[in-house]
Amino acid sequence: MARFHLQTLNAMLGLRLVGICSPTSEKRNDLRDEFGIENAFGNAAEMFQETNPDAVFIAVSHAVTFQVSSLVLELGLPCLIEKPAAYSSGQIAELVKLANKSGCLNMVGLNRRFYSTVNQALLAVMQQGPIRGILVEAHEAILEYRSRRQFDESLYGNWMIANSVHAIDLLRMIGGEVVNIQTSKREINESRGDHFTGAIEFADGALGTFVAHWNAGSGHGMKIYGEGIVAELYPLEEGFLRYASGRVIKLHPDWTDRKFKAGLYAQDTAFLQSVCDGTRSPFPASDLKDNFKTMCLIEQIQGRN
Amino acid sequence: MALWPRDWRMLPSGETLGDVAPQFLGHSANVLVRVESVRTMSHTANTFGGYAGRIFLQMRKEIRRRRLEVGEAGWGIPQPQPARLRGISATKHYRVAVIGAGSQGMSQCQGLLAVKGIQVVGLSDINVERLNQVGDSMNLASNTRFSDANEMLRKAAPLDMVSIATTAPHHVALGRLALTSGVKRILLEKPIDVSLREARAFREECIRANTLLAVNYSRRWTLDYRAINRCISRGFIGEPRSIFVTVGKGELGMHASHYFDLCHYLFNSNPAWVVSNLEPVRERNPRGATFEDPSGFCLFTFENGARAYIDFSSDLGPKDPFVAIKGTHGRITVDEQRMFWTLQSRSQRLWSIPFAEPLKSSTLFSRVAADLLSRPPVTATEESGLVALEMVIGSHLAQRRSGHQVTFPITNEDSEIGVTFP
Repeated sequence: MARFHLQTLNAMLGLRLVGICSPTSEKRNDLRDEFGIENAFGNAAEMFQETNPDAVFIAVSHAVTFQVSSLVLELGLPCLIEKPAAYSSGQIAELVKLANKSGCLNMVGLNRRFYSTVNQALLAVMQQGPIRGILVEAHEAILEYRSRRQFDESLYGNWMIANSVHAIDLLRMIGGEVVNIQTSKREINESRGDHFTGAIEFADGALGTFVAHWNAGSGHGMKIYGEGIVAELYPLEEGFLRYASGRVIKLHPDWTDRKFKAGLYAQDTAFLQSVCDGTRSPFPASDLKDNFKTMCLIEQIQGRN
Repeated sequence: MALWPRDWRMLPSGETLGDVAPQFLGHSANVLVRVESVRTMSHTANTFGGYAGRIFLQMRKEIRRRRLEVGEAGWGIPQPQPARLRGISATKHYRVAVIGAGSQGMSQCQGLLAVKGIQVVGLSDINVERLNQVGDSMNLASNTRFSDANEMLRKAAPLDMVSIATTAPHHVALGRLALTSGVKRILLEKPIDVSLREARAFREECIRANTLLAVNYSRRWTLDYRAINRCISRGFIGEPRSIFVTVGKGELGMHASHYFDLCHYLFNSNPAWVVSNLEPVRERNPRGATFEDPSGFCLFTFENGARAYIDFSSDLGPKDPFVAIKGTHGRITVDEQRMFWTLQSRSQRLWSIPFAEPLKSSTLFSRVAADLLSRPPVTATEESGLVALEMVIGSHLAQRRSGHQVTFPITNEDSEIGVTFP
């Protein structure tokens, strides 16, 4: 993800990339040379001291995200933390405390929220009336991922938090505040479950459904139901609007989603603008305080609380 | 070639001519422009020469329509569902009567007849010629036309709803006739009345009689303003703090009051005080010489600290309403004449969204009527109608107090200032 962020940051004017930190010298030097970053460091604390940055993008491995984020928040540096910010709601709560104590701005990197297709779908459905329902499917090819042996067990064991967080977070982005949830799961190959369904009630009256069958293949998708309109996004990067009259209109990603990793340019711009303004970024951005609610929802779906 | 004509109308077929003007006037191709088709197309066809010209125009229209489909709004021309009765009401038939056969009365009849399940069983007006003109154009049977409202309420009973589309001084008096006859849904044209005391009293009478009272501030029912309200509620632009409206040359009661109510709706807060500058009335009011409805501008603050400036001064030229809503993190603009709105969160994409449907009186009235007959209204209640009337009265008071601010709520004594708006 670091490379993707650097691609978008490199395309922005008025920005200096003052430092990159990675424990692997080859990796950090390659990125420094490729993107014209001023300095490369092996130690984060040293980097912050030397460069005194205005903002930090945290795109480290999942295993150390919590530790690095804690350090950055303690220092009071505005930061964008790539998802997942932590592996539990308890850890997120700790990060929220650190952010409140230092008063620093933060955002969690849930770039699906900034997809042009997702926002188009939301606006088109809202134009016709209130949101009535959301269906989110988040199927993961967990057996395939495991067989690749790329990551350690802490990641595979928390796969829903590591990857399905995008889809579950979209439920909240589209539907709003969750007031009730009923869930079921089956544990076929995974001890924490690999088949999930959830029926969700939102504060505004919409009903949501979450479905995940991890052994059926992979792919995230969503449907948003409104008054005489359904938005279907399968995959999330593209989709259709279907009107009750029968008319179907294709949704197209905008140029920022085609040129860069989808959603990232809009997300990074929103974060940096909030740093310039000194205020929290508006909807659809999600900060740690908001991400805590998504994490709680994930834990409810998994039956962990 | 007149690319930017004075009148903006949808094409007869319901399609739009797409982005004809932007190529020449430098606008974004994503802005939906509705151009009066007949004059432009016929002129162009003649210019290009007959059949070949028409083929060319059709092809160009189709290409532009397809381009609009993939425009920045992403979803091209919206396809709103028509107004309809909902739930169990969808299987019932409703008997509705209209008092007043002026232009508003005619729009209301058109709107009512467009909703399946609603029958216009009575139309009354003291002007028999006007009554028959509207009755003929609406194909209303002669036994549904009355020159006396009381007689209509008696003979057309039982009635599910009565709509009063006369000028404002008669609203409450006629509303009382409907209330006495036992009608359970009463819809008044705006403003609710010229007297705040009478309006408040009538509201209490309706509550005691368990009768639904609503005021036709129809922008609350438009799909687009409701969508804008949803965007604001979601936080797309943060907290709304300021609304700026330029109406064009308009009148306080007839035009500006729509936007007073709109600001009340979007801010979701009651007005706190007003200052105004109203121009002396120099021209005869088109609705009658007894009416005085000045142009000018007003500045309101609301209880939540937000502000609204509504300008309907006579030097603004023809009506071309433009609304700008500024929030803490973005803004929304609404161009009612050109029928699109824009949404921009701070540093985010600029969304240009074509209106789901035109702001046509009859179309909006269909939605109002269908809503009232299906369930209690969720937007314009009698309370919001009263607030809008207070804002109108307050504006008059502020003017009479040489521009000093007038705080809300207005007392009944203060409200008896003898204004006569239509």
